[in-house]
Amino acid sequence: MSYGWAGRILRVDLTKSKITRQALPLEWRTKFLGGSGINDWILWNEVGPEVEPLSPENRLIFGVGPLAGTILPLGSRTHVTTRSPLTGIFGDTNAGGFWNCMLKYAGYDHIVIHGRAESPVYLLIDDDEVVIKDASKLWGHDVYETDSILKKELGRNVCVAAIGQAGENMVRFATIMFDRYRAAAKAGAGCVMGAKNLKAVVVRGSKGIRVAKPKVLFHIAEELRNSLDPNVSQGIAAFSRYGTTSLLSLYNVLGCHSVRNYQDVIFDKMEDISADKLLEKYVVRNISCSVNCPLNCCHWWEIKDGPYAGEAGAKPEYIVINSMGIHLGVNNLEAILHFQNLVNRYGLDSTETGTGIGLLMELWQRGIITENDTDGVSYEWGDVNVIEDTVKKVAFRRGIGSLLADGTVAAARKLATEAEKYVCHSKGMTEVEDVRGFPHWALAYSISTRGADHLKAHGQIDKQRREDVSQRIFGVPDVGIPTSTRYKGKGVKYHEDLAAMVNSLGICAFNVLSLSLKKNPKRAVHMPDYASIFSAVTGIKMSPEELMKCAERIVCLEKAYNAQLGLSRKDDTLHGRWMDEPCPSGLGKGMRCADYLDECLDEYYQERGFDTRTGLPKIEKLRELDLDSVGERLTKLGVYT
Amino acid sequence: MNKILVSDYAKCSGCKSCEIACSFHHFGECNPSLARLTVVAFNERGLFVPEICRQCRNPWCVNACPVDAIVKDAETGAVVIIAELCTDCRACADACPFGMIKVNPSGNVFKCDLCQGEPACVKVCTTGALKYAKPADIYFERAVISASKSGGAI
Repeated sequence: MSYGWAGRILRVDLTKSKITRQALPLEWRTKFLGGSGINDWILWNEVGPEVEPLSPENRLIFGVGPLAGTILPLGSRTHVTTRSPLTGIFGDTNAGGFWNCMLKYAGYDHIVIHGRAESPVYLLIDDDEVVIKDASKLWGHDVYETDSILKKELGRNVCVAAIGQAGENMVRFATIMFDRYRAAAKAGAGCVMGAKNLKAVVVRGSKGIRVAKPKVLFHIAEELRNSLDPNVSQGIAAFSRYGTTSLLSLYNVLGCHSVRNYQDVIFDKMEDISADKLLEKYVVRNISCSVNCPLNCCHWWEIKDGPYAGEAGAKPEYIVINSMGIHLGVNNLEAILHFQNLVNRYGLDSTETGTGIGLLMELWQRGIITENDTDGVSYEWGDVNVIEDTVKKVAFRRGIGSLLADGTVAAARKLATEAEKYVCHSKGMTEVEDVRGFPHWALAYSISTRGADHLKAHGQIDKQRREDVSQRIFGVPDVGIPTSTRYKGKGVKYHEDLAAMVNSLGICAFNVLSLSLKKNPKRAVHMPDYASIFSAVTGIKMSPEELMKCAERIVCLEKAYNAQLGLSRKDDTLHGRWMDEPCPSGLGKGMRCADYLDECLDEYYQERGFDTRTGLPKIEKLRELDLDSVGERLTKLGVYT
Repeated sequence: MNKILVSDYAKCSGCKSCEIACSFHHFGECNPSLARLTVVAFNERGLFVPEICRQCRNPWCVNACPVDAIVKDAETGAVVIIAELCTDCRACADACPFGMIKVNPSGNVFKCDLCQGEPACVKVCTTGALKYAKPADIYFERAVISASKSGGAI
């Protein structure tokens, strides 16, 4: 009897049309937990440095953790892992939705896709029945259409993960969309899916998940639900009401938006696109983006009149309002809502789409590019028609869109010699939350294994100025001081491990963060507390120290994956104006990452037990984490010489 | 009159905690396909509609049962299946217009019994989409919501 996990891996070879099932090894469960951790282990074992991201040999790995789909009110998430066609390195991405639990109810924790189908197909999983089906009629349809067509044919009780036209056309930052609106947006997972000729993975499951200690877990779930109930807690009620759009006003005070391609950090037209305006004018109700989440931070919005009348959709998340709005100088909230649907439909990462267009607009502003470079189009800030047109061009790889479709860094290199300095990125992935005044984030983006990204070591202790929480976890207040460079290595290590744990257990970072930021320490839940939850679900005894070691192991495995590709400390850095142009305003006015990043990196590597010179996990560290075979392979590849 | 279980789709967030709580309470596993209520998702409209057994006063299922295995519990008002008498013929499932008589993979029929007056689904619903209360109170609250809307218009 398997508790927590469904207990099986589904393997699909699209080249040979072969479907196999494998028991989820017990050793993997105790070492890597599930979700992102086990995905990483599969990637490490099956996708070596010789495997090109878009070759049939690359794996597309879906994983759901042991806590998802149980009675725990912690949300549920899918993790997708692959070698990224955007950055060429380790790639992973995470999404909400109902698909993840459905996969477990069908009896699988992971799906490993390899090979390439000869013509477009989709995968239909109905409990034990798994079939590769012809998708020629679906090909060319956007994500929403694909979802509707499949549900009409198969019933409303299936869950659909699909790519849009961007994935079909192998845009290197194409997403996989779960249940229409939940994007696994990073690393170009949708591009890999498109390269495999796989349009969708459809799941229906009717098996249950059993837990080892039902009575204990029932009690834990009740306590957690009380802590996360918006009716009980004011802080939770505010998060439930605003979701991540609460960051719009906070970041305008702190100064960490990206305005007009990183030229400012405070948006002068914020009142036009404020969260309150969104809520009062467009949001109809709050909905839950995944299973068993009491936060309901997702907004369902509808536009009643005007040029976008009749349009409706889910979210938008802060990052979309930034990348497709603030970043491009757009102060038209309805247009931003429309862009949200547009990138969802085509299956495009809003960040990389936004930074690509932002780059064109800045190069246009500076006269570095002209109509000769842009299919005759003027790229003025905030021009919503040009943005819409460009998004379409990217999805279909037409004209200048074809250039942007390879990623913003690649596009800059082709556009002009000096263009790259207007792109802020790490390891080839762009981000839009300005980090200059916030060393935690500058460091987090730099060391992230998938490239610049706000979620791989996501914490809000600094931006919420929670010196009390910092004191409680780290014994010093500094992690809660936004502009301080002190102890940020400690803070980033903690949050990187925390994210790895959350993504491996299959729960939502927002629920976990909400619990850890609770004002009343008695009811705050921190990283080690999840050990008892894990044990109640799975029946596997795990001490808090062992659980945290699992998280550390998962992070180090990702570092090792990149190390075998030749990455080291030189790559743990930032590019573009974040490094050497002083932050123009806000809390971090005058700060530049180049002034402090090295010092933070030193501390981070020391906290991790890494070699500060190379930035790599020492062989002893890997042994300590029971990753001996990983160390041996790195030695064999000459990484340590 | 007894308390009744009602659902209000306008408040439902679609999180399905009710389905999981139901199956956990009755079958000891987390399995929406074994839940006695169903949240139907209309993703394209951001709409989630919880369908529940209404414990009809003149139940379709009771009328359809050829062996009188379904009775009304006088105390809770729940329409319950007496397992010892039930032949799993599914006449009740065919008769229920709400799809609230379910059939498990072994072929046994099952339905909501209001958990002996403490419905597990209501306990986990934080949005108020599911309520278990006296009808007068529930419908008074609806009247208040409606009145405050028209009051605002005046």
